Amino acid sequence: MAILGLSRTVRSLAAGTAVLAVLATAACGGGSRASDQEAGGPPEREQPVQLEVTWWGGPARAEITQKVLDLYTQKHPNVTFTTQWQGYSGYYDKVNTSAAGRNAADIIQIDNRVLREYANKGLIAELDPWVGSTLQLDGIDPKLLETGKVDGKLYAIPLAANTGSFVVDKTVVEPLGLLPPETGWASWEEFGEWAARVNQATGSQPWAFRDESATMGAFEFWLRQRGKELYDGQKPGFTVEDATAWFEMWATFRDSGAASPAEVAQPANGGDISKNTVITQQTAGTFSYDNQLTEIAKGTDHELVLVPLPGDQSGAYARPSQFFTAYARGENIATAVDVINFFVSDPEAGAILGTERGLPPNKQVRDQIAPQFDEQLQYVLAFDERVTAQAGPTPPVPAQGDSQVTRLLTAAAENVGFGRQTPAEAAEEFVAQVTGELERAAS
Amino acid sequence: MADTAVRPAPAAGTTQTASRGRPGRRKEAVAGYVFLSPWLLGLFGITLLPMLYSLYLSFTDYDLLQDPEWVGLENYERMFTGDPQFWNAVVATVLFAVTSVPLKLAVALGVALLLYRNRRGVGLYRSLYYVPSLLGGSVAIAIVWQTLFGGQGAINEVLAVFGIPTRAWINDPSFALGTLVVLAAWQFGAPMVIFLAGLKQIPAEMFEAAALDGAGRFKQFWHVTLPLLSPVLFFNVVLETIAGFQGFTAAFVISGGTGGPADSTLLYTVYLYLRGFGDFQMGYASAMAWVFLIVLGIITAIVFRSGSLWVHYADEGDR
Repeated sequence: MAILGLSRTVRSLAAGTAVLAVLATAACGGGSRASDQEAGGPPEREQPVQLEVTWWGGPARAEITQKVLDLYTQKHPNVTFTTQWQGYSGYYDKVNTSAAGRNAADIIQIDNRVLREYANKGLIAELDPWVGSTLQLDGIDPKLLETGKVDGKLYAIPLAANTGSFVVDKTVVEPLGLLPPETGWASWEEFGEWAARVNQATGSQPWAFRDESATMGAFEFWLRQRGKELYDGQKPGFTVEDATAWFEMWATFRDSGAASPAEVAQPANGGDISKNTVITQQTAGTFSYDNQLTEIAKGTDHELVLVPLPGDQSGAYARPSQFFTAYARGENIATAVDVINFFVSDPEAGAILGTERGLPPNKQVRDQIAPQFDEQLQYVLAFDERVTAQAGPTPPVPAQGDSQVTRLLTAAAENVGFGRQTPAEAAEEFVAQVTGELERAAS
Repeated sequence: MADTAVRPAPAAGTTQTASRGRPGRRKEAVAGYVFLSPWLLGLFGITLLPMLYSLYLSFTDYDLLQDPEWVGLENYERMFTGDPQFWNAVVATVLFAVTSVPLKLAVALGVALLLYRNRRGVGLYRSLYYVPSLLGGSVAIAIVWQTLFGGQGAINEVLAVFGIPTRAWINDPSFALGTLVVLAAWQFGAPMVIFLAGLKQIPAEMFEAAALDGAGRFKQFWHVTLPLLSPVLFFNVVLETIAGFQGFTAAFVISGGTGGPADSTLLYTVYLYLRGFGDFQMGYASAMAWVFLIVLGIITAIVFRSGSLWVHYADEGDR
């Protein structure tokens, strides 16, 4: 009886499974039409096309991005858009998840941190077939365009260029007579002394400067000043000694009051601009990419200035702040490419975008629209041009597995910041883990 | 396949009397399966098949976008020998579970004891105390918690009034996990309701008899309430232990999806998520999930075994 009952159960289960299998197969039948498209073909603008666009950023960026998309729709009424935007932290998880479900957005904003990964995994489309026809890239600085290439193939179009900076709260430091020189500090030591003086004058209300030991952009700049790079192919481009010196430097800054305690710095370690400590007025200064001034200024009623990072500017480079890429499985890649082109080479679009994402990548567009920029945008433009004029060579696209490295740097810096590890211990663990993760990510 | 469902069951081994009732029963069985089919679909489509697929994936290198590649036991080997963050996650999870589960159950039992006598408005209080359970698992509450316990949060403002030193609770690795434990304990509603039901089952004569024998409140609790409540307590311990190890939402939201500061809130499930969806290592994440399942199974089995030592069933004497 028991055996009979069991076998019947098994049969029913099998029947059920079969039904499911049929359902699943039917569901797959819909398949994407991406493969029917001709790479390099003309954009579809006669039939109704709906494209999804996704990016990270704040409300200011959302507003102007929407305006540019509306402008495109105005010119090509058949092409409409749906949009999705959010803060930086968690952004890539969402893109990855939707890509795994084979329904990522048609146009995806990325930065160079994931470029290699996305290109190698076939998530984003190679754009070379459209260059010269749909994509007009002549005005884009070749050095900047190069940053969108992986192994010689173009995958990503830089939307803008930016460079690292220290943003300083002028309203706080000017009355103290401690406004930093426009050209910055001659060395990190000099910066530390300045910040310690500010902190003495404010009595830590606010703190002089955010502890930036977990900030990849600052670490990279500092490494480049030492003649190193973040990556040497698929290996870390720095040693345990470098990392130790970095963590020690910030430990010294924290001790002297130049840098805030780790607990003040920690919330912003996720990269979310709403947690920026100059916006929250917990510190008088913080690392920021120069284009972010627009967003930060929106979040505070204080006056702000941009200062170059300490020391010589060989560490700086014209960094692609964001790229637009086309989803390789999108249904209308050609149209998506046309929209991307509109963002970088249309002067009207350029005028709307300003420098919120960074400097317009297209020199022709930039020259055409710069005179109309408001005072703040002019200021950012001038700052960026001044710094990048002295910048070092553009580093190669970051290694695959960069997201793990960012996470490991944050954890290591926090372990030192909260006194759980000495700089040397954290550095050793950090470098060992980075080496392991990079090795794995490439395999 | 279709005919198997209607084919008469083989007669071998069945008696005449049994077969007379067969056709009706078979119809019933079919009807039963039809009614069960939504659940069966869910079981196979959403639970069992994906689980088996993840077991397969756990032996592969799978990046979500390209086909899985068989790597044997590599994922498991790496987990135990080559991934320090994995052990950070294990430590954080165990710490979270062993503190949050007892605390939550103690609060649930305490509140249930306060609320089980019929007083005026007791229904309202029971509902009110249950509310956090309904809300507590949500993202919204996690964000509220983040704001409350942040460096410039309300908790610090209250503490400052009393001159207690303030700190950024959720941003300090020594306290971040603690705030998650408090959040978990605050959602005591579900076990509280179960405790209430259990308390209602205890005959009032027991307490009267104990009182006559001179037992005070504490002794009554220790020698009457607790033993008679132990089956319910056992049920709650099992459920909450499993739930405790699976905590995800609060840790993920409050740490901004990082498990920080300094990996202190990197719960196992959060790390699994980061590996799977952040790093494209779904094979590794699947292996982690299976290790988790097995370890949780073992822990639950241990809790069950321990039950014979301390769970008292009222009808045991009758057997």
